[in-house]
Amino acid sequence: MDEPSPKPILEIRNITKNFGGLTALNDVSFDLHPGEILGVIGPNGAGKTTLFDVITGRYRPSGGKVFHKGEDITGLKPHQIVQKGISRSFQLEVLFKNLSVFKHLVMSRHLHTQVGFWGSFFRTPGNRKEEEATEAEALELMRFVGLEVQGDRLGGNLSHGYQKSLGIAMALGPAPEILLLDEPLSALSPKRVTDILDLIRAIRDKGVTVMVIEHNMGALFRICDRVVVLSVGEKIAEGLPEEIKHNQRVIEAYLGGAVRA
Amino acid sequence: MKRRNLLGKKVGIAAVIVAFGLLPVFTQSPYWMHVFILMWIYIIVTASLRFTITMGEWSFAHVPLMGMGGYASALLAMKLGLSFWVALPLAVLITAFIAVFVYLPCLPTTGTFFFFASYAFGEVMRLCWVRFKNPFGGPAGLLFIPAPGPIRIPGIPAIEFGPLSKIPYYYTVFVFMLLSLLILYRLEQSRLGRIAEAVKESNLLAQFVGIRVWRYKMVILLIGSAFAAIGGSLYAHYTTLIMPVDFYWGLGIYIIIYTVVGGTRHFGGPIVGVFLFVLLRELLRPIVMYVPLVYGLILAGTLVFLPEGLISLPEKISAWAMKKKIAAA
Amino acid sequence: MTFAQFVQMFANGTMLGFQLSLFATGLTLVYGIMHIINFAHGELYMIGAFAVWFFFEELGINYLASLALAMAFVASLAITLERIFFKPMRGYHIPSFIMSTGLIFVLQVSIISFFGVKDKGVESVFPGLVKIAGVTLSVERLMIIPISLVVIVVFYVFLRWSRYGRAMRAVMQDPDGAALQGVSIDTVCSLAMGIGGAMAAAAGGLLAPIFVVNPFLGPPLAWEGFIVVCLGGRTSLPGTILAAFIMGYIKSFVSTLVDPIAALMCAAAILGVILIVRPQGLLGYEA
Repeated sequence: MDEPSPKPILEIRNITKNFGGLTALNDVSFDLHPGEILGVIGPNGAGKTTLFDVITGRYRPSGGKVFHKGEDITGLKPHQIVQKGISRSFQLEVLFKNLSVFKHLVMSRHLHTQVGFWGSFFRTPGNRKEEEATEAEALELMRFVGLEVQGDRLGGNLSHGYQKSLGIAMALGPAPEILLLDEPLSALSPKRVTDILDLIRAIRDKGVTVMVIEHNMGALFRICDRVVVLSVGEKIAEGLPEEIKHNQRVIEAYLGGAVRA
Repeated sequence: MKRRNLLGKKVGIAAVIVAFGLLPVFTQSPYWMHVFILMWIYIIVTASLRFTITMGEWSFAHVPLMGMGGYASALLAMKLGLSFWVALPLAVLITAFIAVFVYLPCLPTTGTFFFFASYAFGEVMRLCWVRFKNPFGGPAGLLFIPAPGPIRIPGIPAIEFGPLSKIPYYYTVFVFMLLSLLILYRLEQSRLGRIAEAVKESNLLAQFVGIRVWRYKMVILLIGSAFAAIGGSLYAHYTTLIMPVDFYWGLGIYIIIYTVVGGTRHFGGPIVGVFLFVLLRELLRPIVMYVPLVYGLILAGTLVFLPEGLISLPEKISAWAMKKKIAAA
Repeated sequence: MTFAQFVQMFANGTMLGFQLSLFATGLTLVYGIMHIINFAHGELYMIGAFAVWFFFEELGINYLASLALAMAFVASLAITLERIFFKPMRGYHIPSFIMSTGLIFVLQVSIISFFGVKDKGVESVFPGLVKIAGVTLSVERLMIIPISLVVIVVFYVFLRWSRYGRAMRAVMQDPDGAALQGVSIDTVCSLAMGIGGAMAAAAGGLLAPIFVVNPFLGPPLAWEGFIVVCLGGRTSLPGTILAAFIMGYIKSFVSTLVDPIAALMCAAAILGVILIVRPQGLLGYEA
C-alpha cells in the first residue's frame, strides 16, 4: 500500500471483541476507501460476521474504535448507524417472513419516508403522494435486484437465492453510502453467483462503497479491489487479490482451517 | 370486484352501527342495556390489547392499566370533585404516564419473558390498591363514584346521568367505543401500524432498516394503555364502584381469551370474540355455573383446531369448499 | 422480633418451602421437557387435596393410603390432560399458558359440580403439640417435612438411576432430544406430567389437614409455583428447590413482619426482576 489512497470513508481501529472468555476479534485494524469493493475473507470462525456486528452497532466492541469520515461511531445503535448511511445484509435469511417482497422494500425505505404521524393518520393528500413515491422507489429496487416478478410472494416462501437478493435489496433500501454484505454468495448455484456478482458491481457503479464478507475466495476475487484476511479473530493479511492469492500465511490459514474442520 | 366487496363491507358495518345505535328504541330493559354497556367497554379494552399485540408482544398488564384508568378517574372525581368529562382525559394521561414505568423495565425482554414481566409489574401496581387504604380504599375499593355530569346542548333538555335510565350511559359508552375503534383502526393502517408489523416479524431486521424498535414498542404500548384507561374510566363511572379484584389476572385472561378466540390477525377478531362470549354468557344464564367450562372448552378447541381464531372461519370454509370443487372436477 | 417469633416464622417458611418444592418440581419438569407453561398444575394440587379428603373423610381409608391413592389418581388425570390438550402445545409458551387457564375453568367447575363450593375440612392426622427451643409447634405441621422429604428423595432416586429418569434429564439438558436412547419422547412427556401431577397431589394432600380444602386453591398456588420455577432457572430441579425455600421464607417472614399483601408484592416483584435481570434464573444454564 505505497500509493497514497484517498481519505478512508470507514476506519476500523484496533477492534477487539470478547464473548465471555472467548476472543472473537483481536486488535483488527483496516480502512475502507470510497468507491471500492473490499473483500473480507477468512475460514469459518475467523470473526467476520462479528466484525460486521460491531461496525453496525449490534455489538459494542470490547476495545477499539470505528470512525466514519473521521467521526467516532463506536457503540451507536443500529438505527443510528443506518442513519449515517451504513447498511448491511445478513448471512442467514433475516426477513419479515409474513410480509410480501413489495412490503419488505416499502419498509426498507422507512428512513426516507417523510410521512409524519398525523399525515399518515389522517391520510392527507401530501401523505398519499409521499406514499406513492415510496412505492415507486420500492418497485425500482425490486427491478434493480431482479425481483420484479416476486413482488407478491411472502418473504418466508421465497427460494434461497431470491431470499439473498431480497436481503441485499433490503440493505439498499435506506440508500446507503456504505453497504456491508455478509456472505451474499453462500450456497448459491454458479449461475446465481454470477448474477449476484454483477449486482454487486452495479451497486458499486452507483457510487456505493461495498464491503463483502465471503468464505469462498475464488468468486470474490473476481470483483474485489482489495482484500482483508481474518483468521481466528486476527487480521493476517491485507492487499490486492493477486498478492493475497500467493500469501503464504493465508494459504496456511485456509489449509489449516480446512484440516481442522 | 375488490372495490364492490369493499363497498359491501362498508355498508355492512354502517348497518351494524345503526342497528346497535337504535337498540334502545326496541328494548329499554335495564338488564340488556347493562349487558351491552359492559360489552362496549370490553370491546374497547380488547381491541386496544390487540393493537399492542400487532407489534408482537403480549401485554399482561393491560387489565391492571385499565384499572389504573378507573382508579385515577374515580379519585379525580371523588377527591378533587372534577367532572367525569375532565377526569377521563386526565386519567388517560395519568395511566399512560404510569404505563411508562410498568413497561420500561419489560422492554429489553421479548416473548414469554415480556408477557410475564409485564404481569409482574402490573400486579405490583394492583397490589398497591389493595395495600394502601388511603387513597385507594384497600380490598373494598372505591364506592359511590359520581356519575358523569349532565350534557347540556342548547335547545334540548339536559341529558342527565343517573340510576333512573341507562340510555345516556349506553350512548356515551357506544360513542366512546366507536371513536376508539375508529382511531385504533386508523392507527393500524397508518405508518405506525406498518412499523408494528415489521417489528413483530423481525425485531433485528427492523433495527437495520433504521426503525427505533424500543421507541415504537413503547409508543404502541402507551397508546394501548391509553385506550385501556378509557375503558377503565367508563367502567368506574358507570358501575360507581371498583375493587382491586375487578382487575385481577382472571379478567386479563378473559380479555386474552376473547382476543385469541376471535383472532389476533384481523382487526375485527377481538370484536367477534367479545360478542360471542358475552352473548354466550347470556344464553347460558340458566346454567351459569358451567359458563367457565364452556369458555374453557371453546378456547381449547379454537387453539387446537382454529389457531387463527373464529374470524378466519369463513376463509377456512371457502378454502375448503374450493378444494372440494377442485377435487370434484 | 422475639426469638420465639423467629422460630415460628422459620418453621412456617420451611413448611412452605417443602410445599412449594413438591408443587413446583412438576412445573419445572413439564417446562423443561415439553416447554409448556401449565397453570392447571394448581388444579392438580387442588384435586389432590379433594381426593385425600374424599378417600380419608368420606370413605374412611387410612391417611397414608389415601395420599397414595390421590397421587395415583391425579397422575392418571394429568397424563390424560397431557395426551389430549398439551401434546399440540409443546414448545409454545403463551398458547400453552392460555390453554392451561382454560383447563383451570374446566377442572374447577367439574370439582364444584361434584362437591360444591363449601370449604371441606380434613381431620387432623397427627394431633398434638411439641415444644422446640421453647416454641410450641404443632406435630401436624412438622410431619410435612419428613413425608415430603421422602417423596422428593424417591423422585430424585428415580431421576438419577432409572432408565426413564435418565431419559428425562437428558431431554431437559438437550432440547433436541439427541440423547434419547430408544425412549420415545411421548412416553417421557407423559411420565413428566404424571410425576408432576403426583407430586402436586402429594402437596395438596399433605396440606389438606392444615388448611381447608376448596375448589379455589389452585390459581394462587400456580402463580407462586411459576415464580419459583422462574427464580430457580426453569429447567433446573436443584434450582427449583432452592427457589422454593427462598420463596417459602420470604412469604413467611414478610407476611408476619409486614403484612400478607407485602409478601405478594415481593413475590410479583421477584418474578419481574428475575425475568429481566437474570432470565436464566438462579441455577439455570439456559442462555
